Amino acid sequence: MKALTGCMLLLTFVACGEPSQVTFGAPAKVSKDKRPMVWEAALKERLGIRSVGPTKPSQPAATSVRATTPEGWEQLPANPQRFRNAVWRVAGDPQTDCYLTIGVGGGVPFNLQRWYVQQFGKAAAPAVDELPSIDFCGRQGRLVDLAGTMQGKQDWAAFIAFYSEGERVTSLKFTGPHPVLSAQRDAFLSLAASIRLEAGGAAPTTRSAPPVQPGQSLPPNHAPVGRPAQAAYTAAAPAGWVAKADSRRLLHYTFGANSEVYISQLGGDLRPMLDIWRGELQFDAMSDADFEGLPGAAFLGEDAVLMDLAGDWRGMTGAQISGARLVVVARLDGDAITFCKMVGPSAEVSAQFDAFVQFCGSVRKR
Amino acid sequence: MTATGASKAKKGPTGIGGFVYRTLGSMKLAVTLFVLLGLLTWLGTLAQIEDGLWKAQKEYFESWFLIADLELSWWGQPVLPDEDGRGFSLRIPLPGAYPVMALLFLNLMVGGMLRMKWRMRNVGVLVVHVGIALLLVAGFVKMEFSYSGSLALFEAPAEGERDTSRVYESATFVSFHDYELALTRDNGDSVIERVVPESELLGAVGGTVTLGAEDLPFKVQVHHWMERCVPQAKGPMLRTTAPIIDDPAGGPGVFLRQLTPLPERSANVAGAYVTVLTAAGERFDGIVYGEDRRPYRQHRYPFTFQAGGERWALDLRRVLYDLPFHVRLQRFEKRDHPGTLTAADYRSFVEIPEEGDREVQIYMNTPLRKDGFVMYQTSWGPQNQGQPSGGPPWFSVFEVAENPSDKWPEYACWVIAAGLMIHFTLKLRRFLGSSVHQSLAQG
Repeated sequence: MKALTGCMLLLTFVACGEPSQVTFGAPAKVSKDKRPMVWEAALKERLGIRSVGPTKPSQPAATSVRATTPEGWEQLPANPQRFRNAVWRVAGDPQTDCYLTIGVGGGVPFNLQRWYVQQFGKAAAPAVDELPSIDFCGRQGRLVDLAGTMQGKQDWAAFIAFYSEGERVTSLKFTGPHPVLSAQRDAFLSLAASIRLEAGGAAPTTRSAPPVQPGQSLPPNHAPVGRPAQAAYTAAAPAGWVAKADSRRLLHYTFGANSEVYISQLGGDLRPMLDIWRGELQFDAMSDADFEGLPGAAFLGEDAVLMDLAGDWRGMTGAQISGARLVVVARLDGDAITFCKMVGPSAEVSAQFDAFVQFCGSVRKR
Repeated sequence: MTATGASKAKKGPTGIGGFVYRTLGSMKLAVTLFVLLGLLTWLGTLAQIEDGLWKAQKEYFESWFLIADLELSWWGQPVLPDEDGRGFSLRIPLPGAYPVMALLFLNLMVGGMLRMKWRMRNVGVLVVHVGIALLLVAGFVKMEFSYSGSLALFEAPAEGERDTSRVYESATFVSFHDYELALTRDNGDSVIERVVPESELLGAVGGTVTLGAEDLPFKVQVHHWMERCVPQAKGPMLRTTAPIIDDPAGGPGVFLRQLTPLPERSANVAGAYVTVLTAAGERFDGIVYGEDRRPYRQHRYPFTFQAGGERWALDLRRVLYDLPFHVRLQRFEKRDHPGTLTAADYRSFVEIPEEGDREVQIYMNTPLRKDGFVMYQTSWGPQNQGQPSGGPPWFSVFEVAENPSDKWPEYACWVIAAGLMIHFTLKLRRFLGSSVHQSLAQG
């Protein structure tokens, strides 16, 4: 009886415990064609490491742009972080905007769809062969000529000169009131023909994708954004913050006269994203020391970086606040950057700074 | 569907055997089982919202027993909400769909075949029962003996324009959900491969699993298994309790950051740490990461080491299945809804090199069937949230399945249709010959 009990107990232990000793399966000979592998890959290449910063250059050197500014036009400072490698406008006319974007991904068909269908509400985009040829950047380009309502602006127009290299599209986009653009068509074409690009460092094709909000159509070269709509978050909102209705953010609050706090997710790497937010306040990209020196904050129960900036702010949607303060807490969360951003007039944001840090510390995924 | 009632049942065995026989063949049992199946389908569908398809399928449809959670709500508002705003949950114990369907099969056999009177007037019903039983058997065979996975291929450009890293043609496909750890030895023009399934590595979640074989000059310890994780460089702002693996190329070390598993298991990428201890006393530490980069990268990037004068690799990968033929994507066609970037129809034109480059079109409900494998069109890319993102060139995604009972449901449907046809024809004949019909015909 004792032996039986012992055997039962032994069997019970054997059945309950996870196996700790396992034998490999039988060897099988397989053709190398069926098992292609890289044997000597570097560690980070092997694991497809998304950089957290220090191993990447802070910002690719810009391709230099040479061009002849048309008479009656003026050149404005470039802003490569916002994919405006060179910027012009008709002198003194803030309604006009002309900028050069070098090597944005997605290919021609997608960009044509974006310009025609999404921006001007046309039924469809034409085939690229149907577009007139022009001289652009010293090579044959194509011209898009659009008029109508552009994102709510009536009687608006756009000329877009572009060429592609593989999936990368370089474009010169000129927008403004239709009558103004009609009068400036020749000037635009002469500008397009005069532009010359000279590699001055890293190729623009290595740039990170622009930021996109969840639910918004992604730029084609953008890293996949997760499915934030399914990832509910909880947090203890401070008194005085009002939950914003109908927001597409993960969490969204407003306070004061013109301040907001929201949690969202973006694809891409952390450091380029922080640099893009710096660009919203006209700050240059961070140096390695700047990045490593960023303070930490608790967010989603883990460490995150905190960036605190003050200046005149202009967001990606065009919203502007003079004398603003932007505080963002961000961390890599798998393939995405999860961040909590507070922006508003400096006085309002400063009054809520401690509450914001406490709020970030309370955020959890459901 | 089963016996037409106890009063009409044939006399059968008595005693306990008789009780079991009558119970198994009873109409009450059939009704109970159908109600349970309906309940499981409803609750399982609700569970998919939070748990994802894979988990709900395992829990509700492939299990023997479960406790279902039903969150109560009234007109969209949670009933008795907790602090997170979730309604009160009823916990309902239920048998899984697996035993329910097994019982239903027995019920059909006993009630619908054995207890039913074998008369000419019942032949249609008997045939229908055979068809339904065949459906259940097909489901059982699929669950127990089939396997499936995914195959993604880029459109093949002209020979000179190919990106050698991309996958245009393949004779393998990968599991949607399951991993395996493959140990590979370089053998010149081939490799010698041994695999360990994921199920044998579960002990590495909180402990260590030691792998070996008599003819191997080393042992492999697998530890810190993570169902979902991402490799990350150890930056200055990051703290972690996971081991740090030094990068021989310099720069910060690397660790696996554990992430909360997503409900959709196929979206999780597993990883683990491995330690190789050789007979010569050497030690190699590394990370194996199960990310599948196909079709962008056809190559795997395993953890490699030297032992016993030979070159070895350890690779955590989705279970890899070999096809007895190659498939090459010649072109992919996508038609969008007018004025949108949303695909209305998409189809692939593939070639089988072993068949002299025979071109086959694969699209919705029209798979490629070859050598026991079925290849369905399931998706395409690159896309993001249903919108094109980066293409062309496009890649096409197929589900590949090896299922011995692939065509059985179709045969079962034909059998059921034939049974119903026979049954209704007999009914019609009886009606036409009946006095009721004659009196109706006479006005």
